[in-house]
Amino acid sequence: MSDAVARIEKLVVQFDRSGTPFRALKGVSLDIAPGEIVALVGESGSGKTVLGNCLLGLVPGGHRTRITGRVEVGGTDMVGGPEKDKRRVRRNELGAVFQDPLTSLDPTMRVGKQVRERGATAQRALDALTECGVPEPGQRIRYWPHQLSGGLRQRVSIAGAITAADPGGVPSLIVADEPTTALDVRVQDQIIKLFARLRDDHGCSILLITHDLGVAAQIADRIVVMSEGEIREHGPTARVLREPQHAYTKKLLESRLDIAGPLPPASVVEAGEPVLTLSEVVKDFPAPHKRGEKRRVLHGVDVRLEAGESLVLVGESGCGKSTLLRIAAGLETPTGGRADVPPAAGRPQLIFQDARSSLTPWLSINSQLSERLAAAGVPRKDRPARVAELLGQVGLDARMAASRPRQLSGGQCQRAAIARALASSPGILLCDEPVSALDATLAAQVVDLLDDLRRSTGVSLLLVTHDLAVAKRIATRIAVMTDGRIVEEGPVEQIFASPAHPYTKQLLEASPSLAAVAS
Amino acid sequence: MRPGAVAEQSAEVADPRPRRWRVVPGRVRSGSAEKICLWVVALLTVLLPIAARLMPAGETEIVGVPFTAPGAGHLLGTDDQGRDVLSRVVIGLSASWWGAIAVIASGVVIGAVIGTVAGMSGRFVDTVLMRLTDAFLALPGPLVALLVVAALGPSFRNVLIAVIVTWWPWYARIVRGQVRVLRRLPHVDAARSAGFSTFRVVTRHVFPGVLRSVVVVASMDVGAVLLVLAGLSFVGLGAPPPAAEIGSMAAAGFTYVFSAPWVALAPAGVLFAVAMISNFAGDAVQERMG
Amino acid sequence: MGLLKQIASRVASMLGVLVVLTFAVYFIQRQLPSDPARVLAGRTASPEALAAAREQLGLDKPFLLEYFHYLGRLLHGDLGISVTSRNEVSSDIGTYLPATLELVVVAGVLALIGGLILGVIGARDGWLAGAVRFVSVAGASAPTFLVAILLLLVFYRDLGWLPAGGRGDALAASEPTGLRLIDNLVHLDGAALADTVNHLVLPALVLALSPAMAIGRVLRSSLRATMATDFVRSASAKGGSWPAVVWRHGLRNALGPALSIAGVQVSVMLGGSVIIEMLFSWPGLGNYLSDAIANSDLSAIAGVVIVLGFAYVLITFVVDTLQILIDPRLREPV
Repeated sequence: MSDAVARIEKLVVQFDRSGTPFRALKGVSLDIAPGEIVALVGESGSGKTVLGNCLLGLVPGGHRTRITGRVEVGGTDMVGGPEKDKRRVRRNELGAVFQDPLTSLDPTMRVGKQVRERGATAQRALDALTECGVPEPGQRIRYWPHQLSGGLRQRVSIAGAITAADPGGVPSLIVADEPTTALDVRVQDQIIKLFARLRDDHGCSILLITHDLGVAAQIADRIVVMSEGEIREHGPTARVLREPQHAYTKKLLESRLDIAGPLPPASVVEAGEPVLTLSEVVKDFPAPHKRGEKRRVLHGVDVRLEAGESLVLVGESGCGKSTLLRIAAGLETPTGGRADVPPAAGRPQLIFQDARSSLTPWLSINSQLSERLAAAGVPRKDRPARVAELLGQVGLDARMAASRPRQLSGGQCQRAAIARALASSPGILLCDEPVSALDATLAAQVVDLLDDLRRSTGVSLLLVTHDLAVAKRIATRIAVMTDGRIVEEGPVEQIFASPAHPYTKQLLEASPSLAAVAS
Repeated sequence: MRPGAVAEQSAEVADPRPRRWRVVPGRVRSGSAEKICLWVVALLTVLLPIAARLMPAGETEIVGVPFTAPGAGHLLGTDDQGRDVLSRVVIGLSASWWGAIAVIASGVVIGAVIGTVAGMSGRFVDTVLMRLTDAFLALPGPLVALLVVAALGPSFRNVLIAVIVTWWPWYARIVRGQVRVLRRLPHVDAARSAGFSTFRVVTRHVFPGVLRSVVVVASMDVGAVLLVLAGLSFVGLGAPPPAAEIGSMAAAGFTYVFSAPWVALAPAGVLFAVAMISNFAGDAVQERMG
Repeated sequence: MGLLKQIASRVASMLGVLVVLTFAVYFIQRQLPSDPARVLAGRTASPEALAAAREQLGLDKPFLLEYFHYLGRLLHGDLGISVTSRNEVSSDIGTYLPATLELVVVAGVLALIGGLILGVIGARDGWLAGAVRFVSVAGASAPTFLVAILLLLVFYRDLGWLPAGGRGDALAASEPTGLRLIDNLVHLDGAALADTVNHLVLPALVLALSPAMAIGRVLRSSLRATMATDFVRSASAKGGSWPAVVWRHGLRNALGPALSIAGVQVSVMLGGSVIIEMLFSWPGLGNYLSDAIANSDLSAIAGVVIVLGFAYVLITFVVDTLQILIDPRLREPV
């Protein structure tokens, strides 16, 4: 393809990590054709972001980074060429959208000015904002970034990305690095559709960098799978998803939690005693910046968790699901209503999203577990054996007892945190987005671990997540939350087969799935 | 206060209000830079008094002709009274160094107590303690120190008291900020949900994380405190003559600066060298945490 | 509404700090063995005269009332009487303040400029940044008197380019402001202006050194942090050059911490001016203060501390307010 918008040839990027060379990219070649949407899929550390930055000519890591190979955009060398040419290409040919809409806009500059930073007219900025679905753009251009929601900020970022210096011009390539990862499911769906529309309207190419094959499946023409700085596989989307060639791609596909597909074999849960009852729980928080005013995050929520069952609360950010969990854990006191745990059920234990920071950084895994065992009345001489047993239960080597959290990987941290929770022999595990910070392959393993533990030990699970796919894999019962209320509740089969509430339907529709392509 | 304090540091983009330290709790590891810094401080703390003992002449001992130029007999010459400048400089420096350590140690203790109580308490206690701390911080430190010494009468002990008065609020702020960050971290929630007592949560799951960073921060401040002590002594607030003190020696030597520059330059230069060693060690730490 | 409310709350806290300051000064003064009434009335005064002086100073009342009495006197500009000069402390301060003001303001401007340059250069990778880092640590470690002595030896003794001290009274006009730079400009007196500048260069440079380094390093590290953010990456991806991005996005976001440290440095400079004025025989408050220290003249010391303290608190307030203006998140909540 001689008419490629961007061409990467044998790109090698080597960082200097305090003296040790580290190869982030090991000879990557990739062409992007005009009007093509290429999804670059990989887990963390695969080098996908480094590749995106090289396309933008923003080489990370400072002057010690060594680069060989070529990166061309519109015929200009973006890594070796003169800075002036690179800047010209960035002004006219490229657009960039980054992951976190909270940090990708300058907090001290009004929205409108940021959109037309490359010298476009005010009218052009207005048009771009309108096109990107920002309501009332005429007023919004005068806003500061912090006055917009996350979704709107990402729309503003995209508006800035499509507003090239050339009046009326749209860049020929947009590099979008995890543009939807920080967003709620429904907003994510809208933003993905916006990218597709931009391509259709302007014929620009898009490089969509993502960790999620489901997002890639939504709009990509072609999928490129990367790991450890190398391209493992690339090809048309349908082909890669249906007939993956490389073992790594197959692993990614198999481990991916998806809302499509059959439910896992149901475990028979006998209607047991309630181990946790939340009744009419109301919670107010003081409103930020407004002294004396209250913000109500929970409007009378009822939850009844029975022994041995797995109840998953599904909802988007800010719906109050984490607060509910903290009330159940006894970390917050409800403003109204009651939270009851019968003494026989033991103290509920929490599993957190950020596993690493849920472990005390300066204590070894052994001391963190032993401390719990001591509190539970296990005699000192029995503790080492019990620690080893617990670690075995969560699939960790007993030798890891001596490690501190920073010596473990993210997945290992989450396993250690689960072991620590089990050390208190709880009747209930409260899990707050336990896998959303983990790579897909690890996420599936941790979800399965929790499920196994429930089946083998009979511990009840109350798990909150934004991801219906996680719910599908582990729930016996699902409750859907929005705006501090539970709007729908039922057995997992029922929620997926015949959702009743419009909000549940929206969530199901917006969840990225391979089903559309892969069947 | 804190002239030239190496520790001045704040780069929180999300929160532009003054915050001196952006230390991520628990992330201050015993990396090489921190070790170097702590070693330098420890080494000087031990070596300076030994060096002071080994000096050829005593603090007030007259060993020769006034204004002997630096040379073989007296490495840094003699002063206006014929005392050995080198001996006096090292003796004075050793005292100042220990003084600086005392100031910082007291500051850390006071700051740790007030900061931890404020950080772990509810809104009311926190507000009261921090308003008090902020009021101290808002006062012009050097001037307050000066007033305190002037009122208590010039002596080395009073100078130390004066500097402690203006120095502890920094540590209280740091400790309190760290405690507030730490107590919101998931691992503290995890400990609380295990049903541990507040005392256990604070001492085992919060304070160790604070202590590490505060000790590192504090060890980097020795150079800055040395300079403050010398400044006060230079103005005439310090141990009265004939005690050997860097600041007062420099001030006395300044009278003869054009005829016998070494009398003033020697203490000033040695102080510069020691402050620089301490500050460079601190700078290395800061660069890692930056 | 956000802005006004913020400023109002800062005014309130400024007043609070002033109360603490005056209270501290008063409290320390009262702890002394020396009796201010005896100072006022004279060593040989009769018991009646002493009692009268006591009443005049409000010393016959309970402590808190005494303090309010003292506040009242402060508000009328009454700072007591200096034992050394036998003058009203306030009139002494009036005489010496302009010299110190001129020195500190010029040094402050130099420190800001120097800090800005050091911070921006140091924020970029490369050998120059390393050099800047080295210079700022070294500069922050240098005692003021060392720098002053070295500069004096070179520029006065060896080269003879600059005077050893003083303000250059011979030629200068001291009307209407008492700030020589301005007065000589007003009188269009070139020779006197040059003389004033010559006398000002060394002390102002020495006084500016340490604050410039402190401002520079804070600006450097906050600018580095800012330049690593996504919005800067985003701006660079739109084709902005390094200087343009620093100017448009970097500085504005990085300036907050640098500004607050600049505020703190004012207090360092006020303290440092005492040393500088001694070294360069600068006829300002610092010299007045060191004489007062030598004579244990506590009213004079307290007076100077109060006046400089007020100045410092005021400047801190201005710095805080500037930060609200720079950062929209502080003045326009969601």
